[in-house]
Amino acid sequence: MDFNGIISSTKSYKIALVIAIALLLLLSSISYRQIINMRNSADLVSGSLLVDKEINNLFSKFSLIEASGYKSLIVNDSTFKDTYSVYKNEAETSFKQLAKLTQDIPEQRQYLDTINHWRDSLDISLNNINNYRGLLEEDVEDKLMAEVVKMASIFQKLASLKLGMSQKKDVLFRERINAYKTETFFTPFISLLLVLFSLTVFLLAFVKINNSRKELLSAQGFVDNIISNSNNLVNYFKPIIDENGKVIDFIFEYSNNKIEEITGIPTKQIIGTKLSKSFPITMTNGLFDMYVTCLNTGKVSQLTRPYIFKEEEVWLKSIVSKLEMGVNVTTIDVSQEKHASENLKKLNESLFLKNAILNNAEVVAKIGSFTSYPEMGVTDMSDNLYRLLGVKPGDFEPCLENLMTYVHPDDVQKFKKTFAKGISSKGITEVTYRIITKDKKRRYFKSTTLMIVENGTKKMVGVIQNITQSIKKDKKLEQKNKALKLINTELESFNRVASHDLQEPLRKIQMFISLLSETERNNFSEKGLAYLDKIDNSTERMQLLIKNLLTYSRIDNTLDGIQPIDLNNKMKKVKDNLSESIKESNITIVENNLPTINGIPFQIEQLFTNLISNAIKYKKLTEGAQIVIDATKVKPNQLPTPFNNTENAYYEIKISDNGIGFEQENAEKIFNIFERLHQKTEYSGTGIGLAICKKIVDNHHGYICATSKIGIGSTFYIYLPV
Amino acid sequence: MSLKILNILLADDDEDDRWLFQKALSDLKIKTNLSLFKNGKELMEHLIRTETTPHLIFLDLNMPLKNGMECLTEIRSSCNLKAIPVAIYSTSSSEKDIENTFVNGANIYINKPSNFADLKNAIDKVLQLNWQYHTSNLNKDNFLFRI
Repeated sequence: MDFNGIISSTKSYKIALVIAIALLLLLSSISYRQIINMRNSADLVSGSLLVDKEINNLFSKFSLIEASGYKSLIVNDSTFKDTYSVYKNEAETSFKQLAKLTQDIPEQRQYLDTINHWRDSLDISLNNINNYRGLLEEDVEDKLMAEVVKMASIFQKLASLKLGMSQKKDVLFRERINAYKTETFFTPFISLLLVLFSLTVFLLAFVKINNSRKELLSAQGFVDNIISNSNNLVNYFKPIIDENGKVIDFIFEYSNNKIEEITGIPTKQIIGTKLSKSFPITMTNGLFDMYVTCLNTGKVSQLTRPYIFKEEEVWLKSIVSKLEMGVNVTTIDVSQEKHASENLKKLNESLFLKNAILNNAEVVAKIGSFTSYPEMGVTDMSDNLYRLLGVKPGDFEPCLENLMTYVHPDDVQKFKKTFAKGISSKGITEVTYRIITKDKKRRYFKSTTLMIVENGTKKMVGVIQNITQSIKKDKKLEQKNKALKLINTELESFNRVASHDLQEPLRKIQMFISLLSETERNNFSEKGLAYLDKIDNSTERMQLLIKNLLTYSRIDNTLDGIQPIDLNNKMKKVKDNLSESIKESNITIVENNLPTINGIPFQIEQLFTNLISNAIKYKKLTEGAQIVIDATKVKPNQLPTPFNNTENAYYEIKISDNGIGFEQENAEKIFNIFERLHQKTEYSGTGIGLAICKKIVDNHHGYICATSKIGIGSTFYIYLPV
Repeated sequence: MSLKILNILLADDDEDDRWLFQKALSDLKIKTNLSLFKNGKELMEHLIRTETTPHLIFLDLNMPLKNGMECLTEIRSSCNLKAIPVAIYSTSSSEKDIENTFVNGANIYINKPSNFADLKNAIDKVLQLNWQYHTSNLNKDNFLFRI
């Protein structure tokens, strides 16, 4: 849109209009003069005609005078005197009239002067004639005749004068007629020209004005479009002024659609309302005051304030300028910028806080940090790094060379090499080295450095950790590990000895005893056979003891080989293993709802074997011994309190018997190794069985406990994770 | 089967055990031809040398020079020997030993009994096993021989 074009064309129209008016005026004046000329010309023509008439009139009077003069002479009429005076007056009037008409024509005036002269002569002659007529003198006749001749010659002269005048008048009349004809030709022509010209000028002006109007309309549409599609809110306000001339409020005269977008209120509902009604906050947040100031001073100013629209905080920047009698306000949503800057502020605050925390953390964690710009030769060191070196923060210039003076001489090369490697590498570089603090203490430091590029500048960030204690601990741990390994190896060889080498001779003793009692029975006395039995029993016990001990030691703390185990199957196998003793003791075993659990098969088998054989061993010597095995799923809150459970659900497996039972106070003791509640002779047993059970259940992250009543029976509870 | 003479090999470093095994075997009614070896090395050398394929090998695990496990692996990886039934005959009752020998292809695992009658009983039962049937139905549960 060429606004300059519109403006410049408006200027040229003004000039054209002025020129057109000037030309119109000029033409009008010419035309006016032409009309005046024509009128003058017509007047002149009509003047000529009047002159002609008056000439004829005048000379007709003279003719009448001549005729009546002659008549009076012939008939001797005495009334001639009166008649003549009438004609004379009439001729006088006509002469005056003619003199008046021809006062601008000198030639005619000359004629008139001559006529006047002859008229006076005529008057004298006529008077003489009249006087002579009454006289009776002789010579009267002659005198009269002379006077008559004289009169006749005067009339002759007058007739020739009339001719001259008429001729002169005719010439003039022709001239005037011609002039009039010319005028009558030019005047309408010029008038027509004027009308045509005026019409052209007005047509041109109309076309131009119409075009300008169209352009203006399109320009206005363009501006309207810009305003309504603008990202900015544009408002125009008119002030409300009280009787004292004070601005008390503003009215929304115009708002573009952006206001609806920002405030959520339809534009139509806002236009025409008062500022104080629609947005009361503006009366107190300085916006209203700014409008008033702008209105009074005409100065452009701006204000950024928060508003709540659509339940959200919006930051609006309003720029106000005076426009005619109101204020024009352009408002921009600057929430994002504002929030960004607020966030930046918060970020700064949190950064400050984090920095403080970091400083504190460095002290607590015994670490220091540094940032090095190898290309610029600048290094920053944290306060705690100084402290780690045994000096006060800032005691020396923070640079690599100064830091190096604290490094143990034997580690300087290593330190330098790693540092150089760190600069050229992209990843993390680590190095452990010794330093000697200011007070000659030896410390182990570990540096972890990372090279980063920030804004094109290479930067090394490093964390230096005092690992003296951890190295000491590591060394201790290493020693302990070594000792532990040794112990483990010893234990392994012990296991080997126990499992094989110790059992081997024992088994042989048993073997030869059995061979002895089988093949040499007849060679022994009664006593001898009894001794042989004792030896056999003892070796059997010893074998059992060794086996149980082995089992116990073999249950390690790993869950290698854990798998789902169907307890129904497992119980079948256990009963199979114990079939002989079950048969012997005539005990009934009832199983209900046994689940599938996760476990190490041989350990679970061992667990149930031990518990069942225990129940068999401690049955009452009367009939009707029975074992009931039940299982239910329980939640952690249903577990016995000493159990530090960690899983969400457990199986509770309950093994109850109606055996001899034990004192409840011993319920915990029974799971300890080598704990026995009975005399060896009463019940066989090694005191390891339940300890094995406990170890197995512990290994499965479960829990085992027991309740019992003497003479009634015992119940063992096993809790295993689902 | 009982009419035939069974060729049986036993590798055991313990002299008493060899003697007891021989005695127990001779007490049985089954006709057998038993060859005894002091260690795995002797056994393997014999197996390579001999042309008669034994019906059954009893193998102790803890032996000097070449232990039972090494013998088992060699037997199972040899084309000529891999079909011979191998019975492990050991004092060890550790799960690890049982597991390893099972995985490596032994046919049965016998814990050395501590009673002479049991020993006789065990040898008798093992000798009368239908190896074809036992091997095709072999699993961890019937692998360990129970008296």
